[in-house]
Amino acid sequence: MTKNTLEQALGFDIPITVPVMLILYIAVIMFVGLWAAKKVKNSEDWFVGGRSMGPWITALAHGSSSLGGGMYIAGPQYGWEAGASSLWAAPGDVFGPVLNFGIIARRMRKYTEKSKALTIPEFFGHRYYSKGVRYLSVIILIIAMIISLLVEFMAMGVLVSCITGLNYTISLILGCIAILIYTGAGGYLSVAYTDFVQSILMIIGLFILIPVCIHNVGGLTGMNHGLTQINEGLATLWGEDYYLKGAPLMIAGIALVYFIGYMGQPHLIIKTVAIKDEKSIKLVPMIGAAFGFVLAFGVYILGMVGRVSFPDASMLPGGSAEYIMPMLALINLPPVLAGLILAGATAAIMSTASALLLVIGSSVGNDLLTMIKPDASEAHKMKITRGSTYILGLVSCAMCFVPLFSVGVYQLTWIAWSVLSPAFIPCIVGGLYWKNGTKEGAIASMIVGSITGFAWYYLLQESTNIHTFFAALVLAIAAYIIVSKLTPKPPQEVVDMFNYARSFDEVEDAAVPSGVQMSADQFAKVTADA
Amino acid sequence: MLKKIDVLRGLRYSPEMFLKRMKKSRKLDGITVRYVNTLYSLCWVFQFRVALKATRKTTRYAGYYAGFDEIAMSPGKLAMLPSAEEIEVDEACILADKLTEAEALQSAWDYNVTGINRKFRNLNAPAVLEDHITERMYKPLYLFEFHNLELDEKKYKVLDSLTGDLEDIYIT
Repeated sequence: MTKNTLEQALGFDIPITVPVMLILYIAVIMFVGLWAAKKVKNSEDWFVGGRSMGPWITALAHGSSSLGGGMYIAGPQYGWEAGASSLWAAPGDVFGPVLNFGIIARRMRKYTEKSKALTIPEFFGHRYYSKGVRYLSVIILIIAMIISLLVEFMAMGVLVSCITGLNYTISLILGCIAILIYTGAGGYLSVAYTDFVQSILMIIGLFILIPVCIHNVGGLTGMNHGLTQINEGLATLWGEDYYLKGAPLMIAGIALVYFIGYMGQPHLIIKTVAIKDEKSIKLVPMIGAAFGFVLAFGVYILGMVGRVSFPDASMLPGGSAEYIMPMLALINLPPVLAGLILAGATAAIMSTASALLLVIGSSVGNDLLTMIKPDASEAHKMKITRGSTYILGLVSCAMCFVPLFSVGVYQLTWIAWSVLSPAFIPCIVGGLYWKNGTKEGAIASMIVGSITGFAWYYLLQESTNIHTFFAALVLAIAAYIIVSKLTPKPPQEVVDMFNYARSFDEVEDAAVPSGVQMSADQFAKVTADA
Repeated sequence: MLKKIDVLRGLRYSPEMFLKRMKKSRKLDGITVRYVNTLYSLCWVFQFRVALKATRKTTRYAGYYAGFDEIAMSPGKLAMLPSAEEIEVDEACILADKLTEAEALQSAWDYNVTGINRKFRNLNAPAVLEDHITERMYKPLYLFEFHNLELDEKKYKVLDSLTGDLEDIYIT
């Protein structure tokens, strides 16, 4: 019989310490946020304009916005469902940032600098000399962001129900309201410092939780043994019932989602544009990779341990594996520590969700409104931005109850990435590396990539055994190349810009170069003592 | 000729620190390093008075510090007003201005306004720079001579007292 509530599944009441810890935690975070907002009018980059802090902030921003708070719920869920085969997805989180920065950063920075594009849709608009491409990319971006937002909302629902003991539906609604209030509170709470502290805290939390859980199931040997006993395939990379054996395209999809999916995520790529110097470009991927390593491997292994502790879905509340991380924390750790970890995850989800909401809101307010009404005033734009933030927040909350999206948090993450990345990867990489890519090619790739990314999961993934991401990517690349070949070449201006981005010698574009400059006469004077 | 300028105080890097580090370096066998002179590069420091339109009718004001470093040619944010002392230095040691005040101000404001707008994102209208005070402060750059005894070749570099970067000198 399936357990209906978390307390039934755990076999004990949730200690009062857990909600108390949450309230305390949020209070501290708010205090830090308010204090920082008052005191810190800067980050420590005194004079050097972001140069000295650059790589760390960039890497952590990259890491936390790519994985997001929902990963603490979604990762263990996937680990529980797929066993050791979930580890196919982990290397992507580690090497994704490296690949992203390695392939795209340098050229993207040069191209956007020269073309004065500030956002990725603007880059599309310039590179593909078409407003249509720009607006289409904005629409796809908004849809994918809304799906990502659903992930955060659902994860929030799970956590709130764990902390309060209420059922999932009420918890989800409460969680959404909390996120909307948090977003309304505005910039004071989401100072970069609180995000930074939260990332660090969660990693420390995982460092405590994972060894304790592994120890409690008899170490790694015990975990393997336990998994083998449940199902022989679980302890192997082939998954339950060896379902991945003979399905190489499924594996390719799972591994590639994060591996090259990073290159199609505009909000991550824009971070590469913001980097100021070459030194940082080298350092950022390293930090990003380390962050991804801890988080990605950590959450999947946690899920595997959870499978050993709770082998059957009927032992989980509502039969849902999304509760694995909170359950392991509540069972294995003292209430204070468990409360701290759950509160940390809640706060991380809240900040990710509110950041997503604000991005969606400003996409609607700035980009879409300019499309419909080019002469909109600044005040009008702000009003639309604020209104759409809340309306879309409520719509997303309602969408959580649509059966189409009730496929599980982790699967929804995949869909979000599959809608966005395959549509954009050919346009971004092709745009920077292939000068014959045309606007028609870009439109074809965006439409084919995003529609396949959404529909394939529901219609064809199971019957073909080909992963949605892989199918969408291949079709989008094919569409981009074929259509580009059939249509007239891009104008000379775009080709020139492309050639500039390709050239490796850094052309000093600024009217006044940096560094120490002096006349020969002055140089002779100052070195006279020598 | 001597000239009075405001020089930044409390900077992290000094010639002694650099020489001590160079002594430990094994790469510099056969090369002697010597402190030669101190150059001064302009850092623009601005105090902004920013108007924040909270609602259609109410406007509040906030103060911000910002700057522009002419060595890095980049604007930046300042936590507090840096302290400086007036000293007399040889005019030859002062590097020529690269920007006009208006250019530096524009750059520093453009750099900071995004952050201000993002922080007060519930405003009715974007932040407006109402007024500003400009200060010209100079940061020391320590000139070092690297002498390769074997080839009898001399090269010069400067140590940025603020960032610790070792910069080349371009003769124009």
